[in-house]
Amino acid sequence: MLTVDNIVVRYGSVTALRNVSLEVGSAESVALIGANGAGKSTLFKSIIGLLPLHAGAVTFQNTSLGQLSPDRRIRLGIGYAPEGRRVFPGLTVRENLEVAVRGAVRSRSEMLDFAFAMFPELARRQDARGWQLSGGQQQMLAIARALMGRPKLLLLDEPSLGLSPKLVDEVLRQVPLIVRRGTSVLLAEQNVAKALKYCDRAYVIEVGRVAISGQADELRRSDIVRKAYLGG
Amino acid sequence: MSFLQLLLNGVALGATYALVSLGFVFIVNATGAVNFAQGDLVMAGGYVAIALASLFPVPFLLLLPVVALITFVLGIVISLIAYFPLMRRPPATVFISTLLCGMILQNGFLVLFGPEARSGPALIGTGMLHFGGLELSRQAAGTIIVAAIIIVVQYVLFAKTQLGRRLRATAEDREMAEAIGIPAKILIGITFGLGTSLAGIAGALLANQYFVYPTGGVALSVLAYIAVVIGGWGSLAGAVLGSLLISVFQVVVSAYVSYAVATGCLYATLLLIFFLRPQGIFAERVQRRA
Amino acid sequence: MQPRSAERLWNWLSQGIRLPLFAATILLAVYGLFYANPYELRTLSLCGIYALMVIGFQFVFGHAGAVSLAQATFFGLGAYVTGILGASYGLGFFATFPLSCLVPTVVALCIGIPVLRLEDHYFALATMGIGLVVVLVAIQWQSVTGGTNGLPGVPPIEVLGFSAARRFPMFVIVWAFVALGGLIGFQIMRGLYGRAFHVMRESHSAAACMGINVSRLRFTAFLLSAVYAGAAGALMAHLSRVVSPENLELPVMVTCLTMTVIGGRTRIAGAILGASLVVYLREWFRILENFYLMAYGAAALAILMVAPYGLVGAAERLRERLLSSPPPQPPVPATLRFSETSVTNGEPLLVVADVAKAFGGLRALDGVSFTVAEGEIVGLIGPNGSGKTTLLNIISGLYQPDRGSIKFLGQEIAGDPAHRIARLGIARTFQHINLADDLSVLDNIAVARFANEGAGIWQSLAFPGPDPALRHARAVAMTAADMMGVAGVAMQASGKLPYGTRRRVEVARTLAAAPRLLLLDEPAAGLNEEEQRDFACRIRESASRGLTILIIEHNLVFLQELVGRMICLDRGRVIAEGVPAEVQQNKAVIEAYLGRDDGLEPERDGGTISNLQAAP
Repeated sequence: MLTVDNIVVRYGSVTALRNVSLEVGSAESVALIGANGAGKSTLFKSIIGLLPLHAGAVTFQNTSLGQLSPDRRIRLGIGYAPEGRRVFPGLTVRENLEVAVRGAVRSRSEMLDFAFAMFPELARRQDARGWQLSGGQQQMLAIARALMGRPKLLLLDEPSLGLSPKLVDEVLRQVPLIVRRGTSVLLAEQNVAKALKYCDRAYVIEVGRVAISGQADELRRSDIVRKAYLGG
Repeated sequence: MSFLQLLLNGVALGATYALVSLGFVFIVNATGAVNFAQGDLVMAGGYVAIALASLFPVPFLLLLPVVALITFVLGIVISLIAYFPLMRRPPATVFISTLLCGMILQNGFLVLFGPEARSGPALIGTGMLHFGGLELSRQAAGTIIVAAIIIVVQYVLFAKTQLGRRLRATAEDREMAEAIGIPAKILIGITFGLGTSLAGIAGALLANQYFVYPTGGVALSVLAYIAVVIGGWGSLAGAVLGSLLISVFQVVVSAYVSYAVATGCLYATLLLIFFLRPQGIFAERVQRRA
Repeated sequence: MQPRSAERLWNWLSQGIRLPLFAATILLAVYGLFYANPYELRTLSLCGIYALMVIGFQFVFGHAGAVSLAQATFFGLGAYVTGILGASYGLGFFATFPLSCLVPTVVALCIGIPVLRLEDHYFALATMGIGLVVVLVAIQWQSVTGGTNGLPGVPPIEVLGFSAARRFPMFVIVWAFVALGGLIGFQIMRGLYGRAFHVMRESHSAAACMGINVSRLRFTAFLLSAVYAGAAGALMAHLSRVVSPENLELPVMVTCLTMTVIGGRTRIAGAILGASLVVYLREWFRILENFYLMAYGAAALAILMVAPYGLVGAAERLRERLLSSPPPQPPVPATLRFSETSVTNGEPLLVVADVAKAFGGLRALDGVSFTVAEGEIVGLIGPNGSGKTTLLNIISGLYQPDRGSIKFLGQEIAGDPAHRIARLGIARTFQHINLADDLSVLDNIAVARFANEGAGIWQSLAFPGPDPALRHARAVAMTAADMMGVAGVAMQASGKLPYGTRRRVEVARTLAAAPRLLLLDEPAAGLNEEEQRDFACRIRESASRGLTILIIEHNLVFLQELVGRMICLDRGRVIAEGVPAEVQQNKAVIEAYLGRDDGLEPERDGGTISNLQAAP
């Protein structure tokens, strides 16, 4: 569904991503693991179009994303929950969700129900403004909001940042459920253990290139990843 | 004149100022930019009203939408010239570019209409309304009603409609708005246009009671800036309240002392507010993302 | 001239766009001196007067980065002082000119203190408001100012019996002042003091934590702008022989802003270019009569689009692209002396006692107490939201604590402003790298020596030629750069460097000031394993030179090799303290990071933190 083919992304003279290739198929969850600064968010931003590609191509459902503006790419069926959540601070929880729904008024209430079923805590705080929510609630809102457009692919950027491990589990538990409902997930995470726990496959990114890739189970058991991140 | 009468006159004036300031705040919220051509767009509204009224013998109320449309388009043109190309530059650059656009507008007025002050057509007709010992010109009353309607409509637009939500989201975090599929640039253009059309409507409404002349807009731009700062930078309610405070101040105080002294007092009070409560009356608690 | 000085002069001239500027100046001077008619001389004088005002404006708007809308007010005040004292009281130039410079400065002094506390558009509006009040006074106070029509009959400049009534002497006098003003302005901003402005306008916090008194810099810039504007106003009064409220009004301010933005915000050449261009644009477009303002506005807009940072900057960038010059040579390193002797006589270097801080309802710190002994490397850990960065911000003076005491070297520092704390010997880095992108790595580091070198406005004016403070600061900065392994990129602009390198530059910056206590905020974030090892090595070396270091980190693998002691915060309180091995096995600490009943896979050695990647 999503093919990233040998992309190179630069900031001025710094090459942030070099010859990165990956794939996400339908109905699967893929983890992108790597330390802070390795290039995960950069990769997401270039998929969405917030950063330009210096070389290579990104294809989504057989459409080349190259020339499209970010909002056009999103409307093709991509959902994006960015690093730092970025809920709209002045809008209420309801409004944050509604504003992301595309289509008729009727579908708006349907999608809201779906979101509240997924995260009951959001239902409880639906009239609170974005800035009033706790970190965990904001993360839930960001994910639900990204799903309001009924995307085929969800890009989840570092949902564990700033959350207690308990909350991280609560949030990431949704990943397999989201996949089961028909949306693939590409999850960027620093927290290796959690990422591998909830995803099918994984790519390890180190300083701008893909170092290792494989099935999550295998990687979890192997020593390479552990050594890279957990020491010992 | 009784104090209540002065107050009433002040409110009538304030209603139109509120439109100018509201439009100013829309643009501030959407772009972070100060549109210093706002006052010149008020004049534009006045001039368009004058031109249209002399060409078409149609009731003024029907001309208002046309004025709104023309100034809406003007606003989008200004955003294309003065804002979008300079979006990522330091903010003072946009401040100057809007000033320059205003200057170009002023020159346009001069060329098209000449330097003399003009007066615009009446809204509902001339004549005074009398109630409870107070009197209000029909025009002023009509102005208050139109302004009130527009304020309500814009509130409903922003608070209750999907378009309004999208405009607010884009204003708060443009990049994120794009990341949920909102065509941000188009919406920013629309917001700009809405802001300037409010100024245009205010101009058409004011043209009957006050003179329209090429450089008349400058004082209004300053006024909108002041009202928005008093009311709280970025607050819509604050813009309305700030405008009312200024107009009441102007009308009431200048009945007792000269206009110049009244204006002086206004600025002095403004400075006082700065030092006591610099965030304005309705301080925006929400931090906007750049 | 000696051959070597001629060569040095040539080298200096051929840098940037100095040569074309120099040539243009000569051409203009020749034109003005020999060929221009009186009208043209008047126009040239007008250019000079505006140039002088813009040079002044550059201090507050360009260097300090504050949008002051008071420049026209100061200009008009200068004009009025000369006008009133000259026309109504017959005072001579030697009396009126200094007063024209003094009065706006006094006004700036009075309004500067309250107004400079305001941010951004509030500051702009306050300065505009004051301007509007002054205009009103000028119009109303008819007996003195002549009201709306102003005062005619301002005498020409009379110096020692010589009257500069004709255009030519006036031209010479104006441009002599411009040359003087330009030289002074250049002299003030050429060195370490000017670099401090650059850093300050990009980040007030970073500057403050390097010992730079941000308020004082802004205030000085504001006063300077007033002096120059007053001088320009006086000259204007002498040139046009009349003063009126027009000299004070908004159009003058708009013109000043336009000239600055078009020419260049921090370059003297930009001020002259911007002023001349705008004045001449108006002249040329005058033939268009009715359409002249429109054409002028359109031309100004076009220039703004093409060169939004100013024409001078654009010209230089163009020159760089066409003829790239060889990179400048890095300076010879000078010794960076850290204090090797113990000053505290066994007392702890830093004592934090019962510090608390709340933001609204959120209690970020709830009674934190600990000490740091001299020469220690201490790690500060804790889950997100535990208050670590808040604590750092309080120690470095960016925040005031609600209660508690912080003693550094035996002195109470809680509540002191950041720049004062920095000067006592505390330096810090930031979570988000706070470097000035346009400055070279070396200059970024050198600015940290602002206090050490005694930089300031009088120091800048003290010696002609290159700033000795900057030279020495750069030399010491080389050593600091070497300590962090960034000496190789010292002359490059920091904005384009990779993340890891910029991190190291930031740390080098803290070292350059030879502090006693170093506060590092997540220094390893974004570094790969190799970079981390290198980094840890360098930090250990710095510590061996007598530095005490407090590090906030999440990367416990990185930290455990480096620190002698760890302190763990959770929800604003200290929950554990001790050697790394102890703290990592502490139940409370594990719970804080993992939560209870997590259902995580059991780790190899039964649940210690060293095996976990903590959420930052």
